[in-house]
Amino acid sequence: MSTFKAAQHKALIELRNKGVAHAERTIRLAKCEIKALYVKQIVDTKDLAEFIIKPLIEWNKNEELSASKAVSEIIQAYDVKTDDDMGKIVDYILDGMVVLLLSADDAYIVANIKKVEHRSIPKPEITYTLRGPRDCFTENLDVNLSLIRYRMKDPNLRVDLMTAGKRSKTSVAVIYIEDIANPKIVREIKKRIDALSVDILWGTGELEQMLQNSPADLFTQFGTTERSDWACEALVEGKVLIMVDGGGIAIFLPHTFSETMIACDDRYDNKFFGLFSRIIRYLSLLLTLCSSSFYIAMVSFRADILPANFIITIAQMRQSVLFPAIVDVLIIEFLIELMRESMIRVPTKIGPAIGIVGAIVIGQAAIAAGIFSPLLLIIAATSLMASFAIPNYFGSHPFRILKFYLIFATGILGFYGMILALTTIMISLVSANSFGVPYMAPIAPFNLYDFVRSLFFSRAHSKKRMQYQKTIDDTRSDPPTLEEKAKEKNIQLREEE
Amino acid sequence: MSREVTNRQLVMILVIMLATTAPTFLSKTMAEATEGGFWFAILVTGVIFSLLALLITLLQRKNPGKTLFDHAKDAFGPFWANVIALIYIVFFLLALIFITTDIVSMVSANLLLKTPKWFILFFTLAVSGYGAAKGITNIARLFEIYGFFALTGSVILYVIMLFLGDINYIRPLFVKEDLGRYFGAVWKTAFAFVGLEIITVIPFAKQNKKFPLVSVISTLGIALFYILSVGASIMMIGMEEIRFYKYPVMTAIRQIDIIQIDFLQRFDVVHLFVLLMGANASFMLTSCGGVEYMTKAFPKMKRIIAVLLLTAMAFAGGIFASFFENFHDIAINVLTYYMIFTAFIIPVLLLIFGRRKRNAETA
Amino acid sequence: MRKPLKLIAAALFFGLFLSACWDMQDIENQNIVTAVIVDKTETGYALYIEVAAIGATAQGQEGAQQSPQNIIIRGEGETYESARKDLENKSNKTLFIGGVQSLIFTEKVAEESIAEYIFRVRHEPLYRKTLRVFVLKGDPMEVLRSSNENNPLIGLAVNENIMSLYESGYALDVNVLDILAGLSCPNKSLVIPTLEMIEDNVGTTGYTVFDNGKAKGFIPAEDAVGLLALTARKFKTTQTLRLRDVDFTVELKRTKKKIKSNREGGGAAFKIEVAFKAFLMYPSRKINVTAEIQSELKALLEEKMKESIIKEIIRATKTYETDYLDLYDVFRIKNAPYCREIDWKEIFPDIKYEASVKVDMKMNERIEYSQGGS
Repeated sequence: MSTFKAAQHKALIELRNKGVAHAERTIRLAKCEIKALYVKQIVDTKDLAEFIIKPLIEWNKNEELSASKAVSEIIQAYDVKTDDDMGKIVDYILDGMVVLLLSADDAYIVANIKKVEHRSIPKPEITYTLRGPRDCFTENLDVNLSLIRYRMKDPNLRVDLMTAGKRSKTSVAVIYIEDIANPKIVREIKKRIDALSVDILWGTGELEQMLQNSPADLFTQFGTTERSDWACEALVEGKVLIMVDGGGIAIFLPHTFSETMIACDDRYDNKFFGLFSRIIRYLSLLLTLCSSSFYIAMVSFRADILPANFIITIAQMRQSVLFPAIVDVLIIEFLIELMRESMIRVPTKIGPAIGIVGAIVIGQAAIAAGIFSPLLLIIAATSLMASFAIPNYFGSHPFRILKFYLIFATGILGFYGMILALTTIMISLVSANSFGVPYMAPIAPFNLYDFVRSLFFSRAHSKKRMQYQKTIDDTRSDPPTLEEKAKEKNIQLREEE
Repeated sequence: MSREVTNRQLVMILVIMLATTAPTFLSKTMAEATEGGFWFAILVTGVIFSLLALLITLLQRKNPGKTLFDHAKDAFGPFWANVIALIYIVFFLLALIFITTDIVSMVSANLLLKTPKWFILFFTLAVSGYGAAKGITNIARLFEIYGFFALTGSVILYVIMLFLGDINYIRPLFVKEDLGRYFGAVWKTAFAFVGLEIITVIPFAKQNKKFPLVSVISTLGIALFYILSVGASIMMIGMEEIRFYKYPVMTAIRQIDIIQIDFLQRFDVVHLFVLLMGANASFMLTSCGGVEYMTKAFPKMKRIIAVLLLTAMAFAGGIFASFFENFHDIAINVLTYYMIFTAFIIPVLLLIFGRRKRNAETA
Repeated sequence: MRKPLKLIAAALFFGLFLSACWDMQDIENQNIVTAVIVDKTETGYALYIEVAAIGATAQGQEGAQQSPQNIIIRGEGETYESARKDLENKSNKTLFIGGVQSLIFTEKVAEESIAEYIFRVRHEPLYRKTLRVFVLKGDPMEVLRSSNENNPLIGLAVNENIMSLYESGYALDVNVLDILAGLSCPNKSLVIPTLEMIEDNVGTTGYTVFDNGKAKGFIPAEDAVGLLALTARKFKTTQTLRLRDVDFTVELKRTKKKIKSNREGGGAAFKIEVAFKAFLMYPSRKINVTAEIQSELKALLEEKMKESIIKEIIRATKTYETDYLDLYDVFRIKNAPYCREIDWKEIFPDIKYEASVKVDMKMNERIEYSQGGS
């Protein structure tokens, strides 16, 4: 009987000493001993028995077996390779692979028969759709990649797998279409992922924070999606998609403010309705941000901007209210945020009850008790609804915070304070950038073609992609070769060493 | 960071920089100086300043990617370039003090009657400093957004005023006996065009050959805008009555009362937004102009330090100015004289000496 | 050491923030003034303000929006300033004058001068210059107490009343800025609508003529056709003409007003052309309105309107000797340098004028007038 080599022994002992909870299966053949190492919780044991162990046992010839021979002639698993770096065995096992040590060879076999329990493809929870497909990403990266591959059969689609997190060794997939995406952006994002120095990484939410230009950035530089069709749309537009194993949301970049206002369904609707919807969304954003501060400015500083009968009506409404306007606004905004937070976390069964309590408490009772005026309640409710009209749910978060900033500024300096605060917000927006793309493009810097397309999209009539992306191929027709296009646009494909 | 500015941004910069603060008091000045012939005086001044704008942009175009300071360094050497930079720093500082105190006075007189001026000035300068720290490209983008709203809003308001006002207030539009008066008023109108110097800190892109034409057309457009603003204000208030208001445009706009629109019948708030948005953007750009020259003249100074220093000096200047009743008139005179150097003499010298140096090098 | 300094600076900064808001005052904590009446007393001046009484809803039915009643506050003093201070002392809250719709002067003040108070309004930033000005014949308290269910706030009521009349073309509308423009130019004067109690309601009964801020006379509403035809921005009137023993009611709208001026001798001459469009509304009894009758009506109307216009010019030049017809503006536009040398007040009473009126007679298109009859 052959014995394992010293290096293999050492690797085995190291594995056992590390306390990695793994299983070992020894197969003794005529002239060779094979040890299968795996973690049974994350390996498909049926496939292991069927496609690896059984063929090996059935082969049992009186000759020494090498790893390459086993891979090419015996093992029936679909994803198999050989390796000779003993230091990687632990990583392979923890990643759900089966490592087969052969006593007759220095190299070992790595077979991917990973099986991780995961949910079936869910429906969208954040981005509701009427006409569009409803398959969303899950926590399993392979499933997510399969959804993308199913839609995008472009041979230029690249999926670069990277690892982040020293302990979690989380797989991160950087996906892009090679002849569209700006290679500078691809290089930059890979560089940033490589440079990450964290112990664990759980999802794209965390990754997003780590990859931002600055930790103080309020506006996100990444778009988010839970839907595979939207992810593919982003790829076709020249964006770089990032997915993390264990997270059900994909992020893509570069991302601009105008894209926050684009909903998935806009592509499936009539273009005029799409324009109408986008205008409504921009107005909603304005409402979310400014309605409460406008109310304070009007009631506490410049009531004379309204005609006299309106002033009297508002004064009548506020007559029995206990608090000054600014305190009122702060209380109601706080209550609304409280309700929002509690609704996210409340168990499904008692959710409707909370809704009713919220409506009764804040609505009827508060007015009767003289805490709010009816007008303020309407304004606050409108502001809340308007915030939900913003398609990118995560993109609306900064504006929820900035609303309070505006309220404070207005409370101190009235309309002038509101304008000063709006100016600081605007200058922050225009000076932000998402991996070199100005955040406020195509509004500032203005590009007519992009601006019209951002409001009024019709794929049949959009011969080119958005110009601010600076993609290699910006046409939607049959593309020339990658090199030709890069040369035309004077883009460097590979970084000079 | 790219410091280039597009043509569209340049138009917005010129228009909003000049057309936000000047109309607030220009109608009073013109009513006193020219009566109905204000359009003539403004047009003549506009033509003169469009030529000055052409002069500055031609200078910039000769050396793409460079600012006036860089030209000065090439033409005269570092010492004189620093002297020129100091001249412009003082100019932008004075301009910043003037426009901020003016707008703060207007806000204090019309909006925040009890709030101390220093408090309003503090926040105004804090915001302008924040913008200046972001750089010229970002402020130019802000102008693109603000400019659209400010310009559209202002023009709509003035057109409404044209319909609601009484045209007899501005007639007769031209009296040939008063021609001397009209030409004499050019000097008083010149102040409305202070701010053209901002072009000197904007580097031109090599391929942007339309810049000079754009700046000329923008300046003429501003002149037309002033004519509209002054005419509309006088039509609402009256040629004699307008002389009693320091900020007649505010008063004129408060006259707009369109009953049919009901709760939106009063347009003050629209004008306020439009005016103050443009004003804030102008503060930022003026501040940025000073900061750019400071960082050029003192390369070791960090940008944030330059911003803080300029803002602090502007604040101190603003407080100091509040002790002078007629600061507004003094500042107008000083800046108008100063502008002769910054908008005319220095660019002309650079054009002449720069050409001589190039010719010498070629020879 | 740096950290405590930063903390102190932050504390001071936020303390400043929290102690700020000098101008913040909620609207319900102010008394909303809707009308101001300025009166003269023996010792000085009296100011009456009408304040919208807010606060009834607390006791009212839930959800019901009650019309606010008014509260009247009277302040008195030797000067306007002291009268205003007296008002503020008597008021339980700060006065919010941004809601004032009507500024009313009593006859006594009008005879003395309204200029001083108007200049106060110019100075006050919260006063809107579009607020309407009236002269009052009668007792201010009687007018303010006449508020009822239909007109709970007199300030709003008279304002809306004059607005609706103005929009229809039946009245002149004068605001503070019009008066300020008139006061700034000594050659111009103006007329201000006059209010009076008509039974239990306040109504406009005519116009008071002002010269340099002082009242000079009164033009009753029924006699003001010529005035409105020449000066109103929109003009409409209803005239009753007697022809062949039938009263015809006709509605007239001004379609054109052209006034040409030139120098004549050492004075001024005006040629006034006014055109109207007339609609026959109804006759007092059944009659076949033939083309002949129409042309006779037209001639009658032209004569009547011309008479009204000439009467008004005579009144302005001879009776009051003050230009409230804006003829100075017309003359100045054409003769600006000459105007700087002359004294318009001396020239105005002797101006020459020629008036021509054209009426375009139209029938009511929905009615068939020539259906037969006596």
